[in-house]
Amino acid sequence: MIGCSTVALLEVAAAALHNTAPSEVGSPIPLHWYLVMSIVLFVFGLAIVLSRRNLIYILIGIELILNAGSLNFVAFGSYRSREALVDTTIVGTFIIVLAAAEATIALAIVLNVFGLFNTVRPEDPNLLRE
Amino acid sequence: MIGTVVTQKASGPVLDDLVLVVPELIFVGTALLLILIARRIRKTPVAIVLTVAAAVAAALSAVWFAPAEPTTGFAGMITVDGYATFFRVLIAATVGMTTLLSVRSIVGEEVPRGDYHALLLLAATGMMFSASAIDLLTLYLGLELTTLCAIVLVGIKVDRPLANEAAIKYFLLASFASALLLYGIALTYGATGATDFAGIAAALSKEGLASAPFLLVPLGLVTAGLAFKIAAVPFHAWAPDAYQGASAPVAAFLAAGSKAAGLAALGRVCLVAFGSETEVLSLLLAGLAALSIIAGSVLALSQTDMKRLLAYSSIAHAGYAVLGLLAGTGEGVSAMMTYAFFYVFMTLGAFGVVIALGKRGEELDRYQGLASQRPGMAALMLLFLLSLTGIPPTAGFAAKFVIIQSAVRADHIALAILAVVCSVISAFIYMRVVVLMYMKDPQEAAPSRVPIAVTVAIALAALVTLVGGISPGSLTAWAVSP
Amino acid sequence: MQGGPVSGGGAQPIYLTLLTFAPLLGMLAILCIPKAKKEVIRTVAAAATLLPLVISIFLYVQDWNGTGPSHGQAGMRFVEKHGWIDSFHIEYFLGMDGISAPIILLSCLLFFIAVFSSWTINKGVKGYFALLCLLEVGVNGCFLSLDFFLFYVFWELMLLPMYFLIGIWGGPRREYAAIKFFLYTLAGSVLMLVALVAIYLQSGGLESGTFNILQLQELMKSGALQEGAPSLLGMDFQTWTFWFLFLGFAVKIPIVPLHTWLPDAHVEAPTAISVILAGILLKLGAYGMMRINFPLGTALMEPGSGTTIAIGVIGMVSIVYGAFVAMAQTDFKRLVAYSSVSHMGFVILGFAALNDMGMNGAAAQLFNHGTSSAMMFLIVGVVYDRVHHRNLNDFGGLGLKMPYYSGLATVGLFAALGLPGLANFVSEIMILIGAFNAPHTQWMAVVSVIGIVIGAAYILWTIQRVFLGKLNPKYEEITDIDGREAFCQIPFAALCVLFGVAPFLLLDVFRDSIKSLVTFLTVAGG
Repeated sequence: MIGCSTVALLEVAAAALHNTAPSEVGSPIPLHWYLVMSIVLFVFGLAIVLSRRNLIYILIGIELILNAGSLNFVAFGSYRSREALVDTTIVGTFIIVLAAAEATIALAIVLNVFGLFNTVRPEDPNLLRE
Repeated sequence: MIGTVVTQKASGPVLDDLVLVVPELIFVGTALLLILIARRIRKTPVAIVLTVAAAVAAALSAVWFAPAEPTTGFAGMITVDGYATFFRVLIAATVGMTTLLSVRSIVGEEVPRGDYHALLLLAATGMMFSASAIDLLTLYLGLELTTLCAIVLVGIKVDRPLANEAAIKYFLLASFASALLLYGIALTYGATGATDFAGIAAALSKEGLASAPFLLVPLGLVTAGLAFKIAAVPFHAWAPDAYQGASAPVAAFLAAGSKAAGLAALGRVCLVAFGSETEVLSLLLAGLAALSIIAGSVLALSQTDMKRLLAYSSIAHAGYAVLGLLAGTGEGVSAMMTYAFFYVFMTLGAFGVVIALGKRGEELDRYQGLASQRPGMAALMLLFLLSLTGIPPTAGFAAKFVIIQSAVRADHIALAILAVVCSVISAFIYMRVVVLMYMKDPQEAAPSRVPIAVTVAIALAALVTLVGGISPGSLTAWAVSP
Repeated sequence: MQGGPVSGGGAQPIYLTLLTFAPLLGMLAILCIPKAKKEVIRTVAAAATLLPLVISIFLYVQDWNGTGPSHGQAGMRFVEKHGWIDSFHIEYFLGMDGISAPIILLSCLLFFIAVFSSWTINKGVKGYFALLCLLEVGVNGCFLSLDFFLFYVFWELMLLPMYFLIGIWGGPRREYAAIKFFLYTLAGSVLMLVALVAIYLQSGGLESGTFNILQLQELMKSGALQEGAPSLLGMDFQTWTFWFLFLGFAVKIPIVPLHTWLPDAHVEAPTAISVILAGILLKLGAYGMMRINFPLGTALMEPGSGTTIAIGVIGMVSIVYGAFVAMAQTDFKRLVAYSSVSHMGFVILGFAALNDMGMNGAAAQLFNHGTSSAMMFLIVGVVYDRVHHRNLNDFGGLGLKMPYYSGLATVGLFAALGLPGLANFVSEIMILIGAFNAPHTQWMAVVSVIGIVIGAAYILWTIQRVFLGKLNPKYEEITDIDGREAFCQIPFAALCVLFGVAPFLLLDVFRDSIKSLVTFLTVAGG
């Protein structure tokens, strides 16, 4: 899974670079480094969401995926143009705000669930049935 | 948005664009007002009247301020066209009816006054934005706003374990889905250099999937993220839990509004942004539709909880609606819009009866003998169930007809057959309710009186369901694709 | 065709609308009457079904004389055509020809009688008669629609009243029977819906498509619908749509092996509903095949083609299987139900022969089976009302105590047996001759004679078990048929005798329509 996605992403990177001239605003770090970093974040996040049995960890996993997306945006932007970098940074900020809002709600519910069920394992509350 | 902000700034003050979002402004304004005066509200009717008035005003202003030509605003982030107006009116109607339906279940129980209605309005604002978004980022923000408010709405009865469990399950899946969606959007941007639909379409038409197969990844992620929103299989797992755990009006709101908004977003993305990739897309969507229709129909068979049953039915109906998008043509999208329109009213109606019967309405077995105790309610339920099955002369049949037609038109005859066969399967479960209502003797006392507001909402839904069945053209003449 | 050319312009007659929707007015009136006034409700229902009956007799006579206004196209008369859903080119298009005239008469008569036969129903009188009226709207609408979409709407409209009439007023296993009926019919009709939509789209779709049945048939025959049409499972467009439509109609007839809903529905349904079910609902399937299905598949309807042989075999199997299973029944009503399967098999066999004789016989059989099966169910109803069971082995010697009843019953049962001089004999012998004359169905005609022999056997055996022999001492107190019951049966007995002695009264009405149908099916070219 990781291998496949990485290859795909490197191709995305190649395409992105192909479409745009190398930009002076780009950092000395090559684009695909960012992308590899982002895919690592994404896969870690996915793995956590799918494997951990603790609501807090799952929440962290979701945050990782969000950050992977955010990192992608900024990286792509920085390799495109100065304007794009500004725009993508704004997007990144938006994502951070959204993630914060999400976390607030999640933690509120988790606290409440903990109060009612005395657990933070997602499979423990099982009143809802087929 | 990206890359266009700077250039479009000169085109005029953004304030002019505000006229494009009057309905959304009305909703946000009312919501903020409600939050501000929440402490001062002594009687719940104040909040109800305000919310219904806001819904009516939003619907009217959506029509009133609708520009003759599609107009984009906010630096190409949103557009107001016939498609957006159609869904705005639909969503406003959903909000109004949900508010009326929640008269009883919100009064009396420990729900903060005003908050409930404010959240409803904010969620609807998000829905409207996702219907008029022409940029993946606006779309994402709209959907997120909807989802976050919906999560709180599901868990709004903080003392009920069931509601909390439903909220946390809904949250986990929904936020996971939106994270996937965001990642898909980021990759789309990387590959095409744009997040606005027109830009994506332009980049894709230059360099399609054939030459760049890795584009499948963002395409798939975005589709999956949106499929979560409409609860299409295999991204449906949240719906039965959320519907069952939430109070019935919230479930109705999710089933009707959330689905309509998701379909609106999916329709525009498929047609405008990814319009050049119809082949791959229709394969993806065909899979989603087929799985949803089969799973929704078959899993509904074993349900004993009415809200769960309607949840599976809504999953199947999401599948039917998606059939309209297979062709990737304007007619197909029109068919989807017609379907969404009628579906919203019949599902609100069915939930309305569930709500009207209170606790009794939530368990299948307790429908026994309803026809002899409440003949009117039973007849209305019958009407909505027939409509959900798709039997003429109800709106459900008109909806089924246009959607089957669009599937056959797209040469998906096998899918069309699958769809109608599954509609027979789901007829079985709907008819089971009818058997209980009409052919069994009552086991318990007649349900208590139904609040007038709930009756009004159900009657409205029944009216649309009937008129839509007898003369579908009169209601869906506005179902024009973008 | 009979009558003159197209009647130009002018107001369209509204006979057919009245015929179709008069019961709807009756239904609305019934819904306004207070629940307690049962007599008023029954009277209104009788009036609401009498009006269509009068109109249908009038139209039948006009058709027989060949004096009605003619539309010119395929001999349609009394045509009404208005726009309905313009964006889909759906029209409100009614018309009547020789094929529909007798069957409409039968339908109106059956519903009128059904009201009287249900006079004793006391549970939920209001709902019962309202649903009965609604059912008549659906049935009559189906027989008169010439717009495929309109036809489909009426077709589905029948589903629900029937479901409730079985499910609420039926016997002990009524819910099971009602759901089974509902699902079988719905399954058939949704396949029909797919074919309907596909044909419509091929005819030009949203831009220039049509649902006009007559026009679609011409288009299909000329091959215009085949161009670029989607195939399915290796079948070309005409073939798969043909079979989808066929399945939809066949469930209703019903053919073996799709018949299993029928005995259950019949056994559980109240008498009047069984009468309607056997008398007219089953006919709808066969009528739909004649009116819609076969003319939309002319390429398959070559005499001797695989399709005609398959249809013939289906008919033959239904005849023989239905007869044998009927023989094995001990429940009177179940026996009649299976005999329906057998007799409807003759209709299918007549279709398969694809010649004038067979097709005329099939059309006549539709009418004659309608009267004889209705009568048989009424016969069962009379005795069931008195003894509350239907076990054939538990009767005996009722003829001694109920002479009038036995006399009437014998007419009905002998008609079903196919006794010469009674109506069914005429139609069945025509079908057999027709099938024998067509090379591809010759052997089937021979095999089907078994069905007649078995039919004679089980009916004679039934007469013996119920009416003859020693009186079962349990039934010393049993009373003979009363005036109302006799009134219900006499019209059918009279029709059995009348059309047996003077079959031309029936055959003349549809001879020309059938001739043009057979010509359309078998002669190539538009």
